[in-house]
Amino acid sequence: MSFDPVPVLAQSDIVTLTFWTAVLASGMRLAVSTGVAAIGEMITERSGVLNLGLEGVMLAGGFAGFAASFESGSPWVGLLAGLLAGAFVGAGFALLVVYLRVDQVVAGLGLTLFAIAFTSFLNREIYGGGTSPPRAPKPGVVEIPVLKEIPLLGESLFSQNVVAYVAIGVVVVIAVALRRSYWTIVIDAVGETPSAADAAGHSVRLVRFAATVIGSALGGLAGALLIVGQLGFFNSNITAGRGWIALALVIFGRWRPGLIVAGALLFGVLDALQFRFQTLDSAVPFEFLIALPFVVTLLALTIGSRSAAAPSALTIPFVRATED
Amino acid sequence: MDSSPRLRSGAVTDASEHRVALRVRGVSRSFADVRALADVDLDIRYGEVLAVLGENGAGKTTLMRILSGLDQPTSGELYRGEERYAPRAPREAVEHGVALVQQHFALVPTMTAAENLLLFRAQRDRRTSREQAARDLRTLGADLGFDIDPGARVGDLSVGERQRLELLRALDADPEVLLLDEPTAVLTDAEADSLLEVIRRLVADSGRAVVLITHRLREVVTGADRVMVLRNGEVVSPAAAVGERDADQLAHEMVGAEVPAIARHNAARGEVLVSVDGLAASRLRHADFQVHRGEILGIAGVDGNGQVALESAMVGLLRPEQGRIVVHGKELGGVRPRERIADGVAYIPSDRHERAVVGPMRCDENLLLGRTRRRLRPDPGAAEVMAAWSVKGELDHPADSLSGGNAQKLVCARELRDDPRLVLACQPTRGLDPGAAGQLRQALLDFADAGGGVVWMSADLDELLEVADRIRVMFHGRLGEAIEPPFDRGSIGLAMAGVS
Repeated sequence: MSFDPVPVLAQSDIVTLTFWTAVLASGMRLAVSTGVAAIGEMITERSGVLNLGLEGVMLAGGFAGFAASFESGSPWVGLLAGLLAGAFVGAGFALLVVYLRVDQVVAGLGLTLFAIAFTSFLNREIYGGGTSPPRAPKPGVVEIPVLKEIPLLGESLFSQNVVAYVAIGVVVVIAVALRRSYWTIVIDAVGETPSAADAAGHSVRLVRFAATVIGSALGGLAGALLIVGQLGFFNSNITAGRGWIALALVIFGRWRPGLIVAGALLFGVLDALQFRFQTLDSAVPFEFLIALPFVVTLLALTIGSRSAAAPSALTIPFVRATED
Repeated sequence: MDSSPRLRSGAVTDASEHRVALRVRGVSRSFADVRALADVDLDIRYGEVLAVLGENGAGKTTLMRILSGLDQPTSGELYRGEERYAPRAPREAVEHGVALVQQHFALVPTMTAAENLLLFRAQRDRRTSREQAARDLRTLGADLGFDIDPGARVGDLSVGERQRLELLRALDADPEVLLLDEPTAVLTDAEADSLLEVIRRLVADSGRAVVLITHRLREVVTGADRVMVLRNGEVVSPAAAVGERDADQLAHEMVGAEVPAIARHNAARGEVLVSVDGLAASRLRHADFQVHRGEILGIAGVDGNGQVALESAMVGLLRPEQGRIVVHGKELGGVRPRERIADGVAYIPSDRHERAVVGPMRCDENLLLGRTRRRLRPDPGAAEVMAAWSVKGELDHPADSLSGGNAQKLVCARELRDDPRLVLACQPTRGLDPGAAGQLRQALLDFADAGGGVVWMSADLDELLEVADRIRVMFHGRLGEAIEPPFDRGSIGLAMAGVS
């Protein structure tokens, strides 16, 4: 799942600082898109909507991002396109589940299945979809002098692809905004006790619609970050389960931004680690290594989610008492 | 205490005795084919407390929802002063100076008191910081003599504190008209009295108009200036000064003549049927009691004192941490609801939607719940049972189509059908119209007359005084001593508030 050039390892390399610096830097890159997607999904879920279509939203954002940056030559146009595509798909999903009260699980799974097929189709029709797909322009790497020389963490934090900084910025801004904002209270009330929010004069459906569109916009941006910012090409089902990981991270992070980011970093580092361990000549079958990040996530979920408090009204459509 | 008017709007300062704040003209509201309100006329005036008296299902809440923008009338008009007033949402009502405190708390339990206050402020209000909300909550509270910690999680507050928070939150919008829907329903007598005192002061100090919805006569007499009586959605007697009618007249108007008085024929106590020793589970700390054949044991208490834990442990839905339950010489062991059905323990749960009825399933299928080992398909007898209980509904329609009273009768029909030994009736008449409640009470009395045992849990002390042979008060997870008739309403009320 990684895309950094990986040198063949000798066992003795594992104990070196260089090795761990590289693992952390690569883990950071891997954490960026799942982290942004998970933060978006967190906003959606806190309003009471479960978007199981997140994987599909990321694919849609990824494809739109690729196409836009390929055609325009600018990665920034690609990111914007990913964001808008996510918002557009999210608006459709929100229309179904919030206003028409379609079952959220059914609509979400449907969205993912549809997006997998539809982006593959478009990719094949427009870009051939062969083994050597066209490449979109890659954004440059920003290197901050001096700071990037800091041992262990320098490379992860101060020598990243420029879009990674965008993603980090987005996450930080959202986390801070949510801490202090009046709207956090409104969104949480809508997800916890919608009847109370309704009585307080907030439109439960409008808030949920908006939270779903915003969450999906971030999901689309996450897809574009992956494709435009890191891979530079699109392929069938290229997100490979990242949307599902992001969904799991929301539970793992107990619907709190700080924990979700920590979870995304943990998953990213494990993923980077397994990829490097694969080149290690060891007795452990590589399939086990590939599974490692997922197994750890699963374990963390099983343990961590025992006391997790999901929004009380998650997946429950809102109907005012007097409505039929 | 500051007793000056604190209306920021200052609009009520010239309130004379007779100025009308809100005028209701010919308001009706129908749901499908049920008429909840029929042609209601009402004047709500500044500077007085108007009580709207009526039984559950009389249409009081529907009227409040219409006045506060949560619902719209099918026909009829409202006027605020001389202006037409037709709020489409609670926020519009608040902008017109009308605020509602709902019967079921509209609070978010996972948030703090201050955050709940903030939630009710519109964004353009600009007072949208948590610090500001916390300060304002303290100020509002101090004005009324309440002490509420703005940082406390609402879920951790007592029911009385939540009620006060609701009131403060409504006052935060500085309304001229304050609508209170059953504000004392979950309070003890003492808490209710102090709340009424605060309400009286609000009216006296600021000239606000207050509408107090209640089904408790006592509150009308002590707390209101005028009273209007609603029954079956109709105005039985238009608003008039409280002194003009005595409590008996009001009671008669409220209940109507169609509810027969319930009667007990045989109060003889037989052998011990159920014996509970040292039972503890969750919020239930310690319970010892016995129920005899032919006896109705009343368990009185305000919600949240361990009733749900007791009810759950008795029917095998919650594992007791300590103690034992013996029914007819056989110990009920562990978490086995099937066993309690086989042992003849009938269960009318406090939350029928959660535990007794599967909404989307047909009525006749609901009559089979938990009994499918004996009857494999809806039997011909189902129609007969429905008729015997006068359940108004179709056998092959989903249980969701039934009204609350009919759904509850369906539950009783099922639970009492197989000649149980014991009925565990938890808040059995809550939310029912007087007719259905009366029928249900009579059925349980008849059951006891025939030699069955009944454990009757209720927060409605008046009901227990009427039906119970003995009363135990539940407070903070413990059962008080058995109280034998003649019952002293005052001391039982105090015990429910934790004063012994």
